[in-house]
Amino acid sequence: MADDLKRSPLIAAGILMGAGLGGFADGIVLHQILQWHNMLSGWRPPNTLVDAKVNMTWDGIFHAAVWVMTCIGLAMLWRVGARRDVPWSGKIFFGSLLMGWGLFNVVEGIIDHQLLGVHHVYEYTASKLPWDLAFLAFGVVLLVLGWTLIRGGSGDTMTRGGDDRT
Amino acid sequence: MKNFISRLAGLLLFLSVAPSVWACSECRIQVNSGVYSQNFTGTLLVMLLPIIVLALIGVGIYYADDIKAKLKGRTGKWQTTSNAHP
Repeated sequence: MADDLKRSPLIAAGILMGAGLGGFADGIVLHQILQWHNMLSGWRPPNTLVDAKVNMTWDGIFHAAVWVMTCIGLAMLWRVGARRDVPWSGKIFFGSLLMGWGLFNVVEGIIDHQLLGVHHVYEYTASKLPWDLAFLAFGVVLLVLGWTLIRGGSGDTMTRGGDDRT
Repeated sequence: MKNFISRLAGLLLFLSVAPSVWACSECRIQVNSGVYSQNFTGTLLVMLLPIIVLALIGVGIYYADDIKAKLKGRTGKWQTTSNAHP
């Protein structure tokens, strides 16, 4: 019975929502509050009002994209809640949220910071690599923490309707 | 629902002509030409690349169990068929 349970839909919903929220954390904390970088600050440093506003527009487009991703995760979670073959486990969901955030840092860090150089985590220094690596390392830590939580919830068999499928 | 949508459309229309949109009347044209240049599509694709990768990972995991089950079913069928005709 417990073998019939599918955990991947709940994990996917958590990962997309976690990645979206991780994107918001990046945008709100690093782009807006601390202003360490902007979306295109590696290509077009915000040294003038025009360049700052161009970056602001791209920051907005980035936020719109992560908002859509969060909504897709939310829609998945809604569908998962109606399924009797998916366990409704807090450990699995919160572990997936952490994994999503970690995955965001790793994927965005590798593509935007390392491969394309669209921006770096901290632009106001000559050596940007340590900051970029710290961002990636934080992502890996979140991935490990999330994975550990998900494994901790692998015995959860209660579905949302309250059915115990053991 | 119709009421809500028409109110929302009205609000968006109001916001689009509100003075705040013209916050930088001096540099607005330069900003627009900086964003909507001939590189716009390329920049947009580059910027959305990590989001697209993450979305594909998420959707792949969502259907992972179903895909695994289908693949197992196919392998099982193939094995049964190959056993039946040695």
